[in-house]
Amino acid sequence: MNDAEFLQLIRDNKGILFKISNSYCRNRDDREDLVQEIIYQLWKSAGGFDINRKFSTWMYRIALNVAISFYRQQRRSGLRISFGGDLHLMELADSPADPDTEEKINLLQQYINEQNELDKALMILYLEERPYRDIAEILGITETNVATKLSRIKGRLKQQLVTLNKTFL
Amino acid sequence: MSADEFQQLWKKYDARLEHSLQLNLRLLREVQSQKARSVLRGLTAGRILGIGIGLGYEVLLVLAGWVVHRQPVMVLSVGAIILVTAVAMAAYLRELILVGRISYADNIVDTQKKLAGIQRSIMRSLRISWLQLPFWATVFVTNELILTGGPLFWAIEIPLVVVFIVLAVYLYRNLTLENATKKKWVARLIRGTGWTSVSRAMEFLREIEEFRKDSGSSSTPASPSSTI
Repeated sequence: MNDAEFLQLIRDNKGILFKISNSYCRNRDDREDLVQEIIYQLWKSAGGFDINRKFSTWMYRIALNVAISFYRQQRRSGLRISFGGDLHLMELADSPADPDTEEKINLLQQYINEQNELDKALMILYLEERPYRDIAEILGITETNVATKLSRIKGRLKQQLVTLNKTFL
Repeated sequence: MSADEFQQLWKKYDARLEHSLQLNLRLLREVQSQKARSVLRGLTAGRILGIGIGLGYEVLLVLAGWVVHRQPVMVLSVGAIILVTAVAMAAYLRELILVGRISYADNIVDTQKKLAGIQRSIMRSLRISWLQLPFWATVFVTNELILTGGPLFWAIEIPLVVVFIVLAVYLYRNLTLENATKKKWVARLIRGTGWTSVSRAMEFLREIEEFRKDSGSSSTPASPSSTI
């Protein structure tokens, strides 16, 4: 895979980068730093990518592995690349949804933030509607384990939303 | 709220985040070259530096051993220090090899477990280094001192060696991750040697085991084997 093909694949799957960086980092600088790190690791591992396999599954593995390691190191200082001027790798434009949806999204995001690194990865893959088989392969656990954990996580999430809704109403 | 609704909500969240990725060939190359350099500032750089310093130290010790080759106690002491240093360097080398073998493209549980395992091994290298302590009490003992030192020399040397042996064994046995949480002096001694990351690594290893064991059956292989 040459650099141009690699770039295209990253652009086609950029949503993965954004959602993972948003879920693992709270501030914007850290998110950009994490996105840089993921892109670098993807590029480094690109030689080992089997073109007969699904790019997104491979990308999830690398992106989540990097995000978890990055999160655990609490961001190493001095590694962020400056491209000069006002140029940033990632431009963020937040366009709020309607107030009710916005509130629910915030609750969902808050719930994701409360999970440990591994449950967070599981939750993201579930919300991304990845099949259990893919989730099991990306995480390195069995499909049964995926089902058990997701059922537990969803149960807790429902409970939390019900409690919070009661508080707000 | 049903399970499907969470996924619908996530889609709305995705739509809300209108990111744009400014990635072109120039920026990609910038990321490649700068990140490649920055990686060397981490664990790998520390290990390479450690091996470099260790090699220099070993050369000096070999030279010192050669200079005093007619002094058996000194030669034995220098030899023991060389051996302990070599073992510590081998541990560093092993960590470097393990870092090189880590692939982020492998599954998350296996990769994270390997990463946390490397951090844990930092403690082992530190413990091994203390074993050279008793030999520093004998490295200055010449033939002349043994023959003519008299009772005063032995009265100082023997207790000194015993104290250093006891201290080395005590430190080797007590500088453990478990003790770092129980004994303040252990925590103080290993502060600044990567203890925080080691401690987090241990906690994370426990989380990984918890995460993996829920189903009670084996995991999927590290590399994708099923058809996607």
